[in-house]
Amino acid sequence: MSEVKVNTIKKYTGSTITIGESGDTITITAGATLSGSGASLTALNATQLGSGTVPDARFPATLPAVSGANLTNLPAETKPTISSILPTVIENTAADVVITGTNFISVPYVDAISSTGAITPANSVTFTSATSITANFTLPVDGSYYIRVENNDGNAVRSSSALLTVSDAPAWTTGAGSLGTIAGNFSGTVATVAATGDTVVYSETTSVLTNAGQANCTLNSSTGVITTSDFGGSGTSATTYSFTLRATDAQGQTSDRNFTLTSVYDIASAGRFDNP
Amino acid sequence: MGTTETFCKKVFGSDASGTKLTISAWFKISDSMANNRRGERYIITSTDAATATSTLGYEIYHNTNSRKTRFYWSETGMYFFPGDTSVGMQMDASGWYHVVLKRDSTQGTDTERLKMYINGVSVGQLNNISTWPAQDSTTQFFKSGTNASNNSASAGNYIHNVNAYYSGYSTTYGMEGGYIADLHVCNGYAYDASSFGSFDANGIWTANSSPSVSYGTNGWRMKFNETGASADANGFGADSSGNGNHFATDNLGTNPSVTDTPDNNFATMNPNSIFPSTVPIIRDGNLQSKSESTSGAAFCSTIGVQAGKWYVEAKIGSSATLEVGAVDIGTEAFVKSGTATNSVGYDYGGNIRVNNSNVQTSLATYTGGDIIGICLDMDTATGTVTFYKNGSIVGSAQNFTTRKPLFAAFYMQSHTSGGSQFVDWNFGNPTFTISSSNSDANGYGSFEYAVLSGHYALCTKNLATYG
Repeated sequence: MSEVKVNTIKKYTGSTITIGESGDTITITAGATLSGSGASLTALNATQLGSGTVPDARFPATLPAVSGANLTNLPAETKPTISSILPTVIENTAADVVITGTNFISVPYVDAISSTGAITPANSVTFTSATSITANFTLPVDGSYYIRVENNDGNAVRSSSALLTVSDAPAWTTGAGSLGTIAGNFSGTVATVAATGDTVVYSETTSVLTNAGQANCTLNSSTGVITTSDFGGSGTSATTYSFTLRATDAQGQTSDRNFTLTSVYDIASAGRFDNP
Repeated sequence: MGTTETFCKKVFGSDASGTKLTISAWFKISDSMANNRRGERYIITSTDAATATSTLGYEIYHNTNSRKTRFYWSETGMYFFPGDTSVGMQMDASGWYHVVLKRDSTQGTDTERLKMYINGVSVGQLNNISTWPAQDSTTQFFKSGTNASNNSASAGNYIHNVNAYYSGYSTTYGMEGGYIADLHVCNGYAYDASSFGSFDANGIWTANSSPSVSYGTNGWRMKFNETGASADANGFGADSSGNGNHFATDNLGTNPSVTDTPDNNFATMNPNSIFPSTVPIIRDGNLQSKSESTSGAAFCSTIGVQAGKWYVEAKIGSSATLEVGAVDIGTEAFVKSGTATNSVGYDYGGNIRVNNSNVQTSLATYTGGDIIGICLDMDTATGTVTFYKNGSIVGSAQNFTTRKPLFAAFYMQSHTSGGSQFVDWNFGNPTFTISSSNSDANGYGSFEYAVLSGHYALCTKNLATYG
């Protein structure tokens, strides 16, 4: 092989200079520097970089998106998940909440995280299985709470929504027992019952008050007002009607109370002992 | 006494008498104060006439300065009077009284063997009792008999009556036109008054129409809500206790089942307020006012009003030389001088009169059989009366002129020369047959003609709202 020493190689014609032919090896002597603007290396095939190190400086500040499937040999990491809880509504007193999910490891830490960010750890956690744990909470502040489960390997999950609601159950302000004595066949307002709570709805769990064959009343589900167009319906003698009313709040919490209403009837007739 | 009256009768097929008995009933007495009406009124009785009699009744007695009425209980050999206590005396024919007689001869203490309650109050230790029932003695009620005819009274044939008493071989009648409501006769049970009523928030004794009591074999309960004469469930004397101890009824009047009750007391004519006080008669449930002399007489209703609009019908008797209308009873003027002081009336000759003087004349006359509607409007400045004859207006509305009445009541006044005059009053429970039945806007009363708009039957249910 002859050796030609030149200082400059310029194209003879056109705009392309070709070095070597297919199958050739073009060697740049070690210690030599291949200089010039990289922007000109337009057709450089990186697969042909058989060895060597690309300096960090040659990477962009933001790496291009890479499919996780292509990230192999990463360290193993299994996070728990939360799919549901039961019940979804508890009161301020200590209550068990069953958390259903996956990948629970005995015994995880469980927290309730309020919408304000306040974190209240569970009083206790019982590990049932990898898909079910039971946390006991005492949450004195009403509101909505996220649930966070952290396995003892550090993997953790927080529910994507506030799954747990803390709310007071409806509380009856109308005392149990007699709501009064009402004249049979009376038409009008019989009584009013009341309970405190979040948008309380009233209903009857028995079938006495609103039964046309018995007390024959109507219960306003919003106001608790009991009315009738004919108290006692077809009854003609004094009767005590015993029934149970339920107050249900917006969270579905219920409170029942037993009441009575008694019908009385006038003496409707008398005998006149004439002198015919 | 002495006039024919409605009464109920029954004999029982087997003897069920015992030591205990309770009678509970509401009464509206009649004719109590007229001087010639003294004596006993036999209301609930059992007798074989020959040997034994037991009665719950009342007695009218009086002297010049004292006229009183009192309920009593008698058994053979003893009388049991409430005595001259405030709760023992009943002088008011305008109201209902509740009476409970409790007999329990098993009591070791003799004074505990009989109790009487008037409007829920025990009359306590009574005076005028001749002797107490012997311990464990049996009552004369609930004994058996074979013949309920009034000529069959004889030893061993016990006849039970309501509003009558078989004295020997004739009938002695009861209340002379009174009322009974919700009669309970319990055989073998002794109940206090509290089983049959209670005091309301105003301290008024009120009826319990559904008491939890037992009646025993020969006990019964009468509601008087039927009108038949037979001893069956459709009879005036029907038993609603469930025992089927129905009573037959003799001498039934017209419309004997009424809505004048302890819970809705209707006005009647007032035997305690008549002028002159010694002559007139009030009968048929205090709904017929009758003058039996040529001296004239005036009667007024038991209820007077200060406000409201009221309607009443007066059916004129066969001989009519009288007037009807409304009169001020706010003072004693009425019982001292009749209607002369402050009244508005309509007389048979076709005159509307104020204080007994004609102010509208040549109007429609009326006679026996005509029904005069009287509309009293106490919501006007002076008080106003409008008259209707058989449903047609007569003249024009007439004001009171002396003053607005303190209490205005309805009245009848017979003219001096008229002789025997009478009016059958319909305050809502007519004693005469009507061809149609018109109630007021609240459903009370039964009148021949339509009640003038805004006017009401004179009863306590309406008084509570409008009076």
